[in-house]
Amino acid sequence: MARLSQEELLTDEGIRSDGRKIDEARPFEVEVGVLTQADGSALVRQGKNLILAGVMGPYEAERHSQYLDRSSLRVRYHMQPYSTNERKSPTYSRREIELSRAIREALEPAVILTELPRTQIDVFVEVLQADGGTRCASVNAASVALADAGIPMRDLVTAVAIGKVRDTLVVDINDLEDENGQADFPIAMMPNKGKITLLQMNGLLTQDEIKRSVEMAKRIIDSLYAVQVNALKKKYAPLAAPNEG
Amino acid sequence: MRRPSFQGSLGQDYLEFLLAKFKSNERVDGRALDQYRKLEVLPGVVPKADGSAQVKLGETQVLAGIKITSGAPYADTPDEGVLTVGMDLAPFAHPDFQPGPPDERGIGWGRVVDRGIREGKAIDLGSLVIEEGKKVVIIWLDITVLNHEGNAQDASSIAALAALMTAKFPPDIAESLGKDSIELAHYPISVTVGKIGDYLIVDPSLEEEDYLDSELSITTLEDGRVSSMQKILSGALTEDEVLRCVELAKEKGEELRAAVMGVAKKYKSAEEKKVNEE
Repeated sequence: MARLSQEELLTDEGIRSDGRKIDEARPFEVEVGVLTQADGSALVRQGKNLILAGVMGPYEAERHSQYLDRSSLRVRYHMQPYSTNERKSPTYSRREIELSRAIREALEPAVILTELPRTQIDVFVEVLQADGGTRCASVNAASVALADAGIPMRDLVTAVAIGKVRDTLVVDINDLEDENGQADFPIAMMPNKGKITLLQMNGLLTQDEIKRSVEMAKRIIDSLYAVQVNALKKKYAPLAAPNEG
Repeated sequence: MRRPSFQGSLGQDYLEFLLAKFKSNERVDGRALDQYRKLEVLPGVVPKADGSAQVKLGETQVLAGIKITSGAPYADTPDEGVLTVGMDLAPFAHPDFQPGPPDERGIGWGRVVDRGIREGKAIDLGSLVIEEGKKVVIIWLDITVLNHEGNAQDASSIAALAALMTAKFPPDIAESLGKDSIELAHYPISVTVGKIGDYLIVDPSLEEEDYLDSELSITTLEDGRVSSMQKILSGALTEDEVLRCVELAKEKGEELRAAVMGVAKKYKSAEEKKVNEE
């Protein structure tokens, strides 16, 4: 990973290392239903992140892991060895376990688990290429895949990471900003409910910076959410139209 | 934990239906017995990898990614580079696939790809030495099955070849070797033939796989030589059937190889054009 100074991360003119402005998100694309074996799937491109999420289920959970009143949601976040700058060992890492939990708990508030007692829903996330903010891109892919699987949900979940470079808050950080920056602040929300479901922070931020970060995140999340919804509509609107297809 | 699977659930009637179709040289999806599904090869889908290719064979999807590093050679081959082939079955690719290391089936697919390349001497490992006995090039070829709708074996073999053909050495390795890409001496392609009753079919679909007596994967090179064979499943083959499979592998292998090489060539010249323009 290249070492960049704070001045290289943000020029005097307010331009970031990849040419973006401080409040500019990376290109974001969502494709729905790209797999046939999964019950729901989504491919997300967020900057150079390439992330494929597949949902299997709901299916009857085994007795010992069955909840009588609700479904159990499992999430597995996994990086392919060729997804990173340095080859990643195929062995499952502590980082992958931590992120799997963060992603699961980001999604859980949105999934109406009580609608599906005794069942299990598996969300599998494969990082095919990583570019900073993979947990956020994973949440964005996984929530669309859950919707595609027809799982009852209160809302989609949409995420973005706010960062700090050269003492300035910037949105949707890439891996250079993640590695060399002063903070990494991933936030996921249920946009329609206005509730935060994932919140982590590495680095140093003031109380005021936290307040402003959340405001910045909200604005980006609204724009990413529109892309998620459009991707779902692209697949499902034709099915809903009367007298067609 | 095991998710519900639908293997063989179509029952005996379906087998009779398949056999009746085969009798008139037809398959359920409309193919002839010796016909592959539509093949799509997309090189360079993972730009951060040193080489990559996604393959769609019908609805089956496989991704191969290559990372190239340098390191110590194996003690018994101090004058050779290292090729390591890894296999991963994404748990959303099939209800039977579990998270974690691949099962015997996945290991088998990876091994056939590995042996086809290694035994076919497709890569001249002797040319990948930076300092004999100390520093050699290590090629990490990792294959991910993303969606399994039958014959992940051949899709993996095609993805591996396409990724190797379009891979680029990282700048420091390119400099020490004096070349920028892997020179392939041969182009191994596996062709999988399934046997149902007395019929031989190439590129079995997932529904057909449920009813296979046995399956034979044969890797051929462009000169017609065979660099690996692997028979799996609990059925048996006659001598004559084996020879017919070899014949099919040569014929079909040639078709697939031409398709992969065409795509790889086109991709490489487009990449070169991009570099020249910069």
